[in-house]
Amino acid sequence: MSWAAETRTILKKELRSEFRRRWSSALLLLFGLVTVFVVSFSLGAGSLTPGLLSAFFWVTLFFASTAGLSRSFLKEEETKTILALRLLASPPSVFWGKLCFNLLLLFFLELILVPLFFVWMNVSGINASGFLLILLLGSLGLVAGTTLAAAMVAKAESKGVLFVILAFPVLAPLLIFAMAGTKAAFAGAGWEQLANPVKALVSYAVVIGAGSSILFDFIWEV
Amino acid sequence: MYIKWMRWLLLIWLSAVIVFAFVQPAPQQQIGETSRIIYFHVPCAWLCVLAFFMTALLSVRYLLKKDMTLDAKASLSAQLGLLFCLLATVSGAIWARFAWGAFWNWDPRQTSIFLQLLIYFAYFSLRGSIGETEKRATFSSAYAILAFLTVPFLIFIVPRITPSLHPSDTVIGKEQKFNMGPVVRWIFFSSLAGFTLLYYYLYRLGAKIKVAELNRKGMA
Amino acid sequence: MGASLSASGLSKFYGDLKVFSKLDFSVAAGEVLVIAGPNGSGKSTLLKIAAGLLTPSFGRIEFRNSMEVIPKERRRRHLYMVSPDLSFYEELTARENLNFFLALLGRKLDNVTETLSRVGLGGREDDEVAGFSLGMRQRLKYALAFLLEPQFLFLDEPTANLDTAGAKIVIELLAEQKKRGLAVVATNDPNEYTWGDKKLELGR
Repeated sequence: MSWAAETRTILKKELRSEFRRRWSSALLLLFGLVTVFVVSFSLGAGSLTPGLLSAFFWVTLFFASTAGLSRSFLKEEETKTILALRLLASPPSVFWGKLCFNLLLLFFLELILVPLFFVWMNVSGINASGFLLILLLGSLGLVAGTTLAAAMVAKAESKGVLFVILAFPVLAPLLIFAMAGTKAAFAGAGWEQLANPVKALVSYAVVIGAGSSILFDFIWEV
Repeated sequence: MYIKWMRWLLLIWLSAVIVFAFVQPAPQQQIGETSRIIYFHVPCAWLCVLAFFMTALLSVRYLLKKDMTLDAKASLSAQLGLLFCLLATVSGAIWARFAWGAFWNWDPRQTSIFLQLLIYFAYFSLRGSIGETEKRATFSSAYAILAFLTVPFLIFIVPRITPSLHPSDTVIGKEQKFNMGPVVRWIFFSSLAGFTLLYYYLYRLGAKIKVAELNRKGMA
Repeated sequence: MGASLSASGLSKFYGDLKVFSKLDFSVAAGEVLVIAGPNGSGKSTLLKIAAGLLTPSFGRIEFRNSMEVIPKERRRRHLYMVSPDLSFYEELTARENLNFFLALLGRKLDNVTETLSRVGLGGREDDEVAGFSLGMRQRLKYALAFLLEPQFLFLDEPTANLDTAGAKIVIELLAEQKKRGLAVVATNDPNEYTWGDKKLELGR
């Protein structure tokens, strides 16, 4: 199973690079924390409805993702290391390696963000395991939907906000499902009510993940 | 060529549709006269999706064959789709104002048409930001296909997750689109057919122009 | 042995601008093809197309090993390129870089010290590439070439940033390369034109 070994090689390299230079994690954390801080601060004490809380949470994750998840490909392009990768690596290992890396980055952000969010926004009375499941599935969907766009933007000539423009329409269904599920979980809903969003999230992650990985080969080679 | 007589057929057909749409009694009782918009709004929305489906299909074929004319046609279909998308969004918003009280409610179908607009915007932004021909064609094809994969989620799954206001989704017409009398049905489907023919005509015309241009530049 | 590279009808457009059109060439085992031409004539573009890093607008490239065509997915195991546009990871050490690229091909790094000494980077295995000068980075790229032992070698401006000692490395590499496969070199240095058994001239 050499592609698994190759994917692991790429993942290890990404982690090592990130550890030494912190390209993406810093951006991710910065955006995430600032957003939560601003929202929580401006609203003062007192809590919000599950719907609003859910919306703020996913908006924060979305913005942080658009800031931090595209760096992985961008910096390879900027430092001219991408050509060596294209020359010697197999496309699937690059796609899955970078996707796993982005997922780990996202988990890292969530590890810090979620407790802060809960404390600052006075969240209580929730279906914790339901929320965590939605968070996991939503994160999978986020990286599935952004990796392809990140690769394209890195190779485009004028970048600017292109990543957000490309990522948002593709991520929109995911955000809708995740927000609906999180809202229900925050309201303390049981598993029956969470079933629909969960199923939607799983199918989104599978369809978009599979589609992206196939399309990536074409992007990578050109 | 047969394209020539098509424009006369279209002229007569669509004129007839428009006349009947206004002369015949209004289709929907509760909403009244404004429901006539259904003869134009729904075909526009339908064409928007059809055009995007064509773009996605042509994109798949491009990725497999790498024929530049396929990419030109994909882009053309997207341009037509964008036009109809704008028409559908605006006509939908106008109707919403009269039927539901506000121009915009984030009803699932309104959300999906808006997202479709964003998809088109993203597609053309992507194309505009790449100068190299093969890269531009490959990237925009990949994006069109990826974006198309999200469309079933928008059309089928989102309405189940968030409540909807659209007639075809609400209780009034749960099994099928709200009950249409025979006359209404005739006009409606004629309009649908006429608009589809319009799309086809515009597409064929545009494709001829684009292919000729590519040939002239020696890039086909 | 038995490696061969052939191209037919290569054209490349950039938007409406034609970079070159209808180029053909073939390189057999033991041969070096030199792509010559002034700056901006498309040498790098052609080289990248030959190495499979860019798609031509028209035309095809074929890599063969003893008459059998090497499919696109497998090419990476048989080729390597040194180019100003191809850099290694600055935040990693020389050893980590070499290890990484070899691991991508399922190979292990055996003789780091030996190889690095050979290219004049002895003792620098565990230094981050960020601290390397341009000349040292160029040498590191050649270190990987010696380790990979590719059948198809592509060199773009091979002696860029190198002093005379460094240039000797390139000549040594090319001599070795002729025995195991072939090479394509893009350069605008007339001295290097003599390295080639065949020459392809690009002009404006």
